[in-house]
Amino acid sequence: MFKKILFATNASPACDAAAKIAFELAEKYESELILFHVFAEPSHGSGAFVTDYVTGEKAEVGPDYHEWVKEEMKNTYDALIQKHGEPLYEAVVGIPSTEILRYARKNEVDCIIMGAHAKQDDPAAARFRGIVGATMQKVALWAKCPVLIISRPCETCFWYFNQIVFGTDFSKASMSAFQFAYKMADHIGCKLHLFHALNIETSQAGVAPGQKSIESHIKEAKAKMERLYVSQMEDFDNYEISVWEGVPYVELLKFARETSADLIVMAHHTKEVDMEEAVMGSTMEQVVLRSACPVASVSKPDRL
Amino acid sequence: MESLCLTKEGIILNRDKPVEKNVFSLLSHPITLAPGFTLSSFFAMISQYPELIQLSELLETFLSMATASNDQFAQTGEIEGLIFFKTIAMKGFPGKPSIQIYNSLKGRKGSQTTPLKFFQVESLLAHTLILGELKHIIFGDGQDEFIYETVYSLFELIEGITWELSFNFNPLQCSIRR
Repeated sequence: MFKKILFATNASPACDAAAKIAFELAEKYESELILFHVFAEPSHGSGAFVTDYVTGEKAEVGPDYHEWVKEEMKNTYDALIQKHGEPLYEAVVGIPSTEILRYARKNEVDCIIMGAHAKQDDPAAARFRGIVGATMQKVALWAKCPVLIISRPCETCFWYFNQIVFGTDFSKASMSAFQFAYKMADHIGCKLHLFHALNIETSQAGVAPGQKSIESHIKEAKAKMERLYVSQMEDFDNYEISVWEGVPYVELLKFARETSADLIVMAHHTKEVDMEEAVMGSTMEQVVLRSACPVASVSKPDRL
Repeated sequence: MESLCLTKEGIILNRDKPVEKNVFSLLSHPITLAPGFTLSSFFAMISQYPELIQLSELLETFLSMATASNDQFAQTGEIEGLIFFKTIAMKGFPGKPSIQIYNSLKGRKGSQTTPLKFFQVESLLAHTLILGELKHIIFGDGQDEFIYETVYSLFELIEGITWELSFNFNPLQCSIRR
């Protein structure tokens, strides 16, 4: 399923949950795992000095420094390495999102795994900061492969994966997400839930829809799912279509809870906008922040 | 401003009389929690005054979870109770000076607090909820922490608890593969 998995880490405790999933997924799918750490920011001009992201101090980077950073990475993930095997280490200087994307593109990575934030935050404080990290946002937008975003230890992941929930708003971007979700479910032989939340508040501006109208919209949405997605699934029959009404991210989280989902797959952004202007969809952002299981963001169909 | 008392049955008392209508006008009032007030009492209050559901798009969902639980879910023994408290975090260095003021709901165990996002909402319902003191943290070259007496408004309690619980969409059970 995944020949190469890139686990992008800043080696802080905020990435621990993502690390565990990265190592376990690589073992399960017999993938090559790359532990990728951008450890320092280059200085302006042609200076040999860089600013270490962890210490904030200037350092002169030579082969020894790279080796030292790799050694630190080995120490940080020693327990996981002992259990799951030795990964490939990459320690580079640069802007994290740029370097992650560059490496993934050049080396034909099939899946990028990242934590949702670079820092561990109190949920109460998180609301006043960027909800998800800027690096993750950029990587999720531009990556040609799916990006698995982990914001907390997975509580339902039994052996990657048993219940995949594909959340759709029927946009073009959602089709790439569907292809990934279907491919995963078909490969693993697990259940695929095709889920759509009917946003009542936006379906009829200013008018509270009646029960009849809601039922009609639900029926339409189910038919659309059959037409768009089920028609592509050939003889795969382990799926279920669900349409709930309400606020999309709330309904998706409730649905994931009810089905004990261990993977949610969504498009990075849903509106038909220029990639340069695309920002992570608000539903995606809220789901990433609160989901008890990993969330796969799919932006492009290139490497599915 | 008159302080409101929230009873463990979920009734809001204003000057010792149960509030029956126009609860929105009381949102800015300071509150006290009656002894034995639990997270269930909080949801009993939301149920008692359904207009409060409008304060958050998540409140109805959590009210449904709390109601469906119907006291049949085992109370977690990992915490002794719940505490709601305010934090003022000031950062002077490094970077731009900033200040953040927020309310948190945490588990209590002895003098320690513990995050709740890994618990199921249902397992927290029977735990007693208390209002804590204000924590003022100053980040700079070092880190200083001060504790102050404070009060909380009805709005702060509802909005703060709802935000914290919004991280608790944890499944109740694991699934078995087909």
